[in-house]
Amino acid sequence: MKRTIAVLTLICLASTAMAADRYRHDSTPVAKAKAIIFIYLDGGSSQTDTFDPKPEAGRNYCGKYTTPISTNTPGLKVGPRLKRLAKISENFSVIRTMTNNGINAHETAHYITLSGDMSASSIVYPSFCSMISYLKEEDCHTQLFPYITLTAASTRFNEAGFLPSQYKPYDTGGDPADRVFNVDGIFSEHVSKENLLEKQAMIECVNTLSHEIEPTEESEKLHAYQDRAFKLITGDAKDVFNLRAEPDSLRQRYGMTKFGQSCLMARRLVEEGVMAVCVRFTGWDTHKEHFSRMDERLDDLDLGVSALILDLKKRGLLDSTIIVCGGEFGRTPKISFEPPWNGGRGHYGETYSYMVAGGGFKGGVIVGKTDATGEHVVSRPVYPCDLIATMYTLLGIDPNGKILHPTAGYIPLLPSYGKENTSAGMLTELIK
Amino acid sequence: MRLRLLISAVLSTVTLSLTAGNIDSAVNAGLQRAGITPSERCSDEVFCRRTFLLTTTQLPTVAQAESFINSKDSDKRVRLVDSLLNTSGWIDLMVVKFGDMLRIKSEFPSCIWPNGVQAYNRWLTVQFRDGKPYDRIVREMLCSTGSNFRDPACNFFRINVTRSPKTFCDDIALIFAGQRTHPEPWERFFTQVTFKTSREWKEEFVCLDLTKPTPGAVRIDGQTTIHPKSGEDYRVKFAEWFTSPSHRQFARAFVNRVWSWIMGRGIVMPVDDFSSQNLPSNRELLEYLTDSFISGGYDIKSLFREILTSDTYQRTCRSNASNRSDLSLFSHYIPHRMMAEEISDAICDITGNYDIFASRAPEPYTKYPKGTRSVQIGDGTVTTSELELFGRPSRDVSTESSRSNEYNYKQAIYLINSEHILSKLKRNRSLTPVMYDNMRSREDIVDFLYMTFLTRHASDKEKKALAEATKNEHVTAMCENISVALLNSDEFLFIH
Repeated sequence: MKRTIAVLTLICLASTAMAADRYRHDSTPVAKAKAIIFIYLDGGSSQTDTFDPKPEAGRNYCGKYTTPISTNTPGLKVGPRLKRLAKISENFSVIRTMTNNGINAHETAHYITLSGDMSASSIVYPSFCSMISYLKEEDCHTQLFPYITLTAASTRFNEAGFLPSQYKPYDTGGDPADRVFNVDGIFSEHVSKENLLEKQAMIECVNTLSHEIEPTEESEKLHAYQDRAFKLITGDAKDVFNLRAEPDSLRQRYGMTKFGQSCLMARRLVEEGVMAVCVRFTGWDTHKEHFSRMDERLDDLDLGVSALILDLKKRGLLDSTIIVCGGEFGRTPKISFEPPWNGGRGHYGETYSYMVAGGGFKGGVIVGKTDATGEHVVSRPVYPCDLIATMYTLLGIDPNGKILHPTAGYIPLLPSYGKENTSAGMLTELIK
Repeated sequence: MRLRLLISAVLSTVTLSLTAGNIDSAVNAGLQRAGITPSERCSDEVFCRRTFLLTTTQLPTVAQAESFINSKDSDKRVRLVDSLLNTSGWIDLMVVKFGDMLRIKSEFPSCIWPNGVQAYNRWLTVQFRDGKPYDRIVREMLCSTGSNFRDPACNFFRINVTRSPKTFCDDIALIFAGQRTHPEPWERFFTQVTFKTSREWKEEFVCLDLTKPTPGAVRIDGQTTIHPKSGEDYRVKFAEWFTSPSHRQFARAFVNRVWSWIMGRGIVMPVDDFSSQNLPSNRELLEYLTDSFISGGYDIKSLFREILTSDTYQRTCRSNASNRSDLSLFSHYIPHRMMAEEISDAICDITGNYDIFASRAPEPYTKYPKGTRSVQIGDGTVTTSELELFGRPSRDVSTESSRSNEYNYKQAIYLINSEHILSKLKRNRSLTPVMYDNMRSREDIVDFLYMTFLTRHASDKEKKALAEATKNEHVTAMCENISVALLNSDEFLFIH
């Protein structure tokens, strides 16, 4: 036991010492945000049906969503399905001119959105959430993990990039809208504490190799992490996944769907000290049956995100928690009525919208302007690396810093940031 | 004539006596210089388990282990090595290791695409099955042209997002010479490589633009100047030099890699970072292996065989007073965690419950036949959360370190308490006959579980303790609980 503590201390010390080498920077911005919740609309959500409606462009563009809703934010109308968000618009801002220079392939757009890297070099960058959990590891004091995905990360790109694989997100699996949110290995109804303690005793009984050989760093880790794992699964920290501890009325407000309950779960994880949470909302790749699928998804989105903003605000956590919501690209503003699409929308990276709130972001602001049909940026383009640079700054990370790559030495944290055609500068207009 | 035969016979004996045990003499000389005594020879049980895993990625079955352990054949270790190197498991292992280096995956950042991935893996399988020498395999890749689907070796040139002579040479240096940089003149031989698509979906051709000016006479190392003629494939002369015995670094880098796959640690570490600042822990050993590999005609299997039959490989991981702190001179075997695929497949093999692998992106979707082992997936894009968790590389970079065999917190939680694992152990098909065999006592069952998971018999003390601890449980619960414990033990997770 004593040895285990010593090893854990050693691991902690080593990681602290490492942190200084991990990243070089000239300035440290004052951190306003402590955590980030990324609501990832995987597949690419339509900007003209959500935060950049274009009713004047006619039915070939807006389809059945002809009457957007006005909000308290001057100049901001949102799609007709976002009723609840429309009412609380002073709490969030909208970026209407996100662009990846028109990249319309899922895998590449996905990588660019998550990493901000458009340099097409041979270095594969980590996702911003993995990067945050790596750079701010010292500030993270949870018994869980610094970065968690609800409920499963995409397999299209390895989010750890060049970082060690432990910086990949932890996927909870399961469905938070089920009667019990089963988080494999951590939270389940079926396992009793007594049972676990018996198991621990038996593992100790058969762990004999390390008694016979000179302990190595790896074998010491085995014992240290097994102890830590038993502490988690026999202790209270795992109860963060018990959504039944929340009042029913609040759960209803988030919507009793996988997405809604994932948003509620995200709030609970942030309260528990988790640094980055990705709520991965899939099914936005609406080439066909676009509007019927949007009806369903937008209702879930509206409920979940509005409830999350208000709940965090009520608990005084909104100012320290970034909420960012968008996909890997947008969708073609012009509807494809021809077969086989029959009224669907294709991939569109030229321009699309993002929503941001909390964590030091201003509310009630619109960034950028698109043309009459929503097909082109008119003013103030925002590249993925610009948004990421702004979020890094809010989290106290210098976006111009350099990070130690395992083989290439110190390389820019955001290689495309500040470069012509892949960056148009920090979103200073959105920082409080 | 007879004289000539005699001479050659004498010569071959001389060579044999010089080479036999040379790994060990090189290692022992290094140990002597450091004043270290090597550890003893490992037990048959340990040898059996270690060798099965390192040559086939699989644990021995109870029957395989018992037959080896009980054999009285004095040559049985060599025989086991020879038979294991001729299994399909060895080919699977090689395809995985090469797939990691060559970054074989369907989609992003190297977009080989599913059909290309399958063709590439099949091509590699054939190379290893036919025992093609390593230098020839590499020459075929370096001089490849054609379709990603029909001429799989050409995928070597397709794995970079940015394709240029520089990125090709970065890969050649890292993968085949274990170096992080390359001399600029190398690039001059790759200026002709160009790409075009066909009308078949996702097909791409690697072609040569023969109008590119010749690189002229290029001095490639101290002795060699290469001068390709205009109109020919400039890569050919480069590849001939690169894979020739005069370019020793080519052989040296590979023997160091194979050594690290077997011993858990390279003679140069990291294994793919040779430089004047990063010296081998035993130069004599590295140069001996390089000589032996070259004179053996770059035969990969012979290289494996030579290492696996050395005394150095057969040492126990128990240290003695003099070698306790040695981690780099190979005085004792250093335990290292099994690879992700080995852990995953071992659980499937032991319980008889196999996972289903499939890919939903990119198109065309890939479905693997039932019973596929994770080691046979062959595509960095196709994965499971279990494989990710245990550090299977996503094949974004070619460095050996991108495969992580480190144990971590998430793995501990998963192995202790995952429903996925527990349900497999609960439905343990291969244990059923054992559990319901009335002839067996509880202690015998404990012993059988030890053989299954740890490839050794349980000691009397262990048998008694575990039978006692589970005496109130039904035999199925008993098996399940002991299985979970053994699965989490250091002795199971580490190759030792």
